[in-house]
Amino acid sequence: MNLTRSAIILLLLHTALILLTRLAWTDSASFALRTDLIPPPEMCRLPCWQGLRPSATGYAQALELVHHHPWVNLVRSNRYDGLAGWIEIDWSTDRPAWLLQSDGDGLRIDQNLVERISLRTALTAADLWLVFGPPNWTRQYSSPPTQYLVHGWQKLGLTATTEMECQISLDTFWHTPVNLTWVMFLPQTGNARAHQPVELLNCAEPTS
Amino acid sequence: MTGLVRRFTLLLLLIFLPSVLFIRLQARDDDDATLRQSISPPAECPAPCLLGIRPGLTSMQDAQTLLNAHPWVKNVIFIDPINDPNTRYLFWDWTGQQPAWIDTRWQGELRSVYHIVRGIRLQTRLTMADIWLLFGPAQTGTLVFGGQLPGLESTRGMVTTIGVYDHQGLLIRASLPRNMGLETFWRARVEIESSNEQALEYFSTYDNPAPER
Repeated sequence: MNLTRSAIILLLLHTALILLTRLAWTDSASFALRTDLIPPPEMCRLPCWQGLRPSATGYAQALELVHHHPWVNLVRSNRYDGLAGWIEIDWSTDRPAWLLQSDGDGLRIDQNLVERISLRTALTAADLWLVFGPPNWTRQYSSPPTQYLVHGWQKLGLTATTEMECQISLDTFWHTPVNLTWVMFLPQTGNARAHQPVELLNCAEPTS
Repeated sequence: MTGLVRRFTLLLLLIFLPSVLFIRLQARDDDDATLRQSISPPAECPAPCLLGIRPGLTSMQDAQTLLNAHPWVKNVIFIDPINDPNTRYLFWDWTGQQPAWIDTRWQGELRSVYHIVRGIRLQTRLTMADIWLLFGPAQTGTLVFGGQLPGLESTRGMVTTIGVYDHQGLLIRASLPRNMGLETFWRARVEIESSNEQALEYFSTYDNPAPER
């Protein structure tokens, strides 16, 4: 009898310990990622990434900010005609592991302002769901055999784009890396009614 | 006798020359007037305005309606870039009723950001000389040297000249080889963009270099 009680107590203690360890790890990992992606509101009004605010930060100010950022190694600035173009960033080794080098996107400049910020990442949709909760905005683009699911968090001005094949499993969706984009605000509605990936994985035409 | 023939020839020459000049000038004026009218914003639609659309002011929805109803325009399609939820491009073909200065080998292009039209771009059969004859030289503008962007290496050795025509709300662009002669400059085909006020203002901060430089 005593042995059974002891076993139960030990089991409960052990379970609680494992849960605590797991939760503590998740919280700190989530917190770090959240801090990397979204600044505290008192530091920079949303939407904002690392001090850069879409449709608010000017070209010259953006160049200055990225030049002095510890995650940045090199900056290439190209403006097609002086008013529009790109600021491309070569990341330093001090960057967080989730941030990947990209030949393409960086900061899109239009009207002499940072129009949008685009980053290639190692993050998955699952990482973002855990940090920000489920998205409230969705767009779907089908170009068989490829499809793109864009999930957005309107308050954050943030979207995560997943490029994948049609008819993939939900498991593959959760494990596919996403590209992140920050804009001043997302359109009121996306082009897909559902926000749940399970309803969107069939390369269906957008509903609106 | 020789004197009489010479005097008669001179008289005929004096009579015919003004007639030829008059006809030529009139034709030129008529062409120019039609051309100017079809490019310039009409009185009821102040600049910037092209095809009834006012960049910086007209909503994307209204622009789509206007284009679909325009006699020059057919087959309007839209493209939403995947990585930019706020930008939409419209492209269209020409019906055949458009003026001759539009180069119909190219689709018309309209870009909107945050539901407002930013600019309309048309490729033309007009040369830089035509533009100068119509509107005079652009007082402001800029030069952009090509080949600076990855993927756009093909533009290396090219220079794009952008002229601002405030009254028409137009940016006039032409891409030319660097160190070209004046003749190449005058014969260069131009692209016209009816653009928003901020863009016009932005380019207006530059002094346009004279073509001989």
